[in-house]
Amino acid sequence: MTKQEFDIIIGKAKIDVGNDCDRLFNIVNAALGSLCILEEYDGDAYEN
Amino acid sequence: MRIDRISDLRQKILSGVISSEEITLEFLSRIEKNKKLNCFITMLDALEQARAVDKKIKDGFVGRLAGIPVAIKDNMRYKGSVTTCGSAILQDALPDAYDCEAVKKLKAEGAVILGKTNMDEFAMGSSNTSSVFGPVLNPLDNGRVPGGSSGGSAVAVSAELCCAALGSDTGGSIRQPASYCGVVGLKPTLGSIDGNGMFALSQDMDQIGPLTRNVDDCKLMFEVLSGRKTVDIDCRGLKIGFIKEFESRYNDDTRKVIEKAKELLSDFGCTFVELSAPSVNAAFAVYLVLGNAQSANNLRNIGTSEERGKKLGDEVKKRVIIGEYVLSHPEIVDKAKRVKSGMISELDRALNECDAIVSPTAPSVAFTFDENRSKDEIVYSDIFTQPASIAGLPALSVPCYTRNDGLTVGAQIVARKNSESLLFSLGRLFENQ
Repeated sequence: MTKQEFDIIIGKAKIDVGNDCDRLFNIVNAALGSLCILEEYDGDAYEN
Repeated sequence: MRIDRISDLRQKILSGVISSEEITLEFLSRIEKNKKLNCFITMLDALEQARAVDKKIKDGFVGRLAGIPVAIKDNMRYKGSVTTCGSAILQDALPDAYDCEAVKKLKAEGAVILGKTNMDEFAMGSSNTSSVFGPVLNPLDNGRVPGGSSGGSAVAVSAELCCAALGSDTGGSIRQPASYCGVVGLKPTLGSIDGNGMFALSQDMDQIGPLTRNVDDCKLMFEVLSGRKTVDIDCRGLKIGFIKEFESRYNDDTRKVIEKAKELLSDFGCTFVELSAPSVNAAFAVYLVLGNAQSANNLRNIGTSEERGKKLGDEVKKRVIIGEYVLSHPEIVDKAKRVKSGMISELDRALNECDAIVSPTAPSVAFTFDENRSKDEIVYSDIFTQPASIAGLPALSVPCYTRNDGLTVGAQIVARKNSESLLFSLGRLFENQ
């Protein structure tokens, strides 16, 4: 997630992050980084 | 005073050996003496409830929990109390106007609700360190976490501050603290206990369940809460499966769980089969996407932006932001749904090859409050419990291995949907080891 997108998302999440923006951005991006494991599993294969 | 099984204590109360008021006073005194554990957030009108039950018993009432003191997690509504979910943002909310369905079931059978237990903020966490009311201490070692998010309930049971407690489990929040605190914890089949009146985290996985000191109490609590009758099953000769993809996450302690489980199950003539379910390695990612998409939605109307910025903890903010992010990227949600569907198929296939699946409940004993856990340890901390949550399967954690220092790891037994009878019957074998 880019910083620009993060700014939009925290608006949708209704969270006024104040001066904490960079720290939260890093925490969230670290967690999102682990989602790449989903690509290792082929959902289509299961449907057959 | 030694705490009996619920059925024995009930018998003493019904026969007048001890009153519900007396036993309630005993528990309230214990709670007071163990305040440092910090496992209760709110105490309720327990003495008033106990006196009312004693009066009903004199009039012939014989409820299955007649006069039995229990506790509930503070994400369940209790008329007249504030449900805080361990969060600063709900601390000053209005008192509840009604009881949640699970509390109604307990009350109908004569239970006395002592209080509401501490928890990770909004049930988001597995250490019980994020509550606005402070961390809960593990009674087995006060320098260690009790697990979470139902840590307060697990501690209240483990420290004998109540006969049983209700928790809620979305990815392991009953089973993991049960494992860390050396008690029994059940996540029933999804939907088998009415969750109305409980604050929802992720309704596709949330399930209320009991934490108890033994399997018989767990069975009784499940029957009361679900309205279902369970039966005893002969476990001799059952086929027990072990998932090979879990093995890379084992350490010395969890390997002992598997060794002990195999040893005691083989004494009953059980046979073993190695199973494969590769997608369990992606359970945390499926949970992160689908769980947080629902959580973000559930929390959307709580507080202003300013209040949310000031009063929500880091873990909640992180999950709400992730939830909003994935909701803005439907391709991520779709992919997670497809992997979920694959995981369900794999577990269905695995359970067609055996009667039940056994694994450690948690990847380790309870960790210390100041432990510097690796990224891998954090990411995979719920690897053994999340698959059953995602698939809606029932899962029971029973104490299995106790180290020399008194710390415990539970064994988790997972079976097909609505197979709680089998879980209780197998769970009893672990108690008799």
